Amino acid sequence: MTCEQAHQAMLGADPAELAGEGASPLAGHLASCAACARRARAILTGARALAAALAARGPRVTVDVALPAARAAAARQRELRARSWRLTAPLALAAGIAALLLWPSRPPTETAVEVLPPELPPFAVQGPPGRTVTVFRTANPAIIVVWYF
Amino acid sequence: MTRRLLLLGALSILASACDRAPRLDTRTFELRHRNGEDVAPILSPYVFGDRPGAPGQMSHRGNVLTVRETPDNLGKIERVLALYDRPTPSVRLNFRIIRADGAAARDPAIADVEAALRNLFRFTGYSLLAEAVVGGMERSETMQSVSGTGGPYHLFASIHDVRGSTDSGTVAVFVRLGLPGGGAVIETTVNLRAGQTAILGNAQLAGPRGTLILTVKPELVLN
Repeated sequence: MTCEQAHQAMLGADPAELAGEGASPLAGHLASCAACARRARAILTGARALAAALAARGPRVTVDVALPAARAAAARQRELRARSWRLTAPLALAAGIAALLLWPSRPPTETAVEVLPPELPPFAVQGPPGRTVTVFRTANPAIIVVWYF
Repeated sequence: MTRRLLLLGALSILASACDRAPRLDTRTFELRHRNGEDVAPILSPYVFGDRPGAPGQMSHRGNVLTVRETPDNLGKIERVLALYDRPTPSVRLNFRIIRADGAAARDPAIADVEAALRNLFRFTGYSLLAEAVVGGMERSETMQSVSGTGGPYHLFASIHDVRGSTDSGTVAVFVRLGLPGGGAVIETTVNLRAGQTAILGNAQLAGPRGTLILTVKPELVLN
């Protein structure tokens, strides 16, 4: 195995193989090539550091524990909201009705009183009995002639 | 517990809202120029006597009127009274006694009626014998003797009805022109607009009086 072939094999090798354990061609090469052996140890060191970091950031509870807890929390939120509505709804209703009752229903409006022009009686005349009466309209509308014959 | 109290409170407010009746006030109006009997028919449409739970009421005695109604309607009634509780205008009747065939020259004092008469009749001329102004109120009667050529003349006026305001009213009046010992020579009832002149004729009389014409012009005057 050449060093180039060893570099390719190291990318997919397991930690034991990188440590030179076993009888694989890679392990045999690492035992005989100090440069490749240093590269393999660097890979191992990096892999261990990455595993440690992932372990520190990983979930502390399992899904089986976390899911029921989340369901319980959601149920508590719903209950709190429902209680809040049961308390505030009557208050809001009472406040609304009180506002309707106490608010001035309608300010007294200055309703205009409609006055129609008076219905004036038309011109009329009543003369003495036994006389014939004739009414003449003249060119002057302010003058009317009532003539008895 | 708190929840039940709140619900009870809300229900009691609802119950009180259901049987809520309008608030009524009572006001007494003192009429200055009208009687309660006169204005009650005008005001009755503003008084809701059939309102369930809070019927309106109105009573009057003399010139005092008491109304129990909503504040809004009391305001309307007040405005109606401001329009109608006004003095009735008095009537001034202007009379002129004119003789036809009396003069060839035109008399400027009767120029307005002479123009109308000349278009209608063939009298040779007209002259003013006497004139008088008689004042009165609605449902009043006035009698007055008027001196003048061929007089005295006796004028009687009975004002039956006055409607409208000073500039657009009407007057129904009975007028009678009489002579001493001669009885009535002209008598009639006319319904005239204020400012309108009625020429009433004629009376054929013997002697110097000739043919008499009476004119009457009513005017409405605010006191």
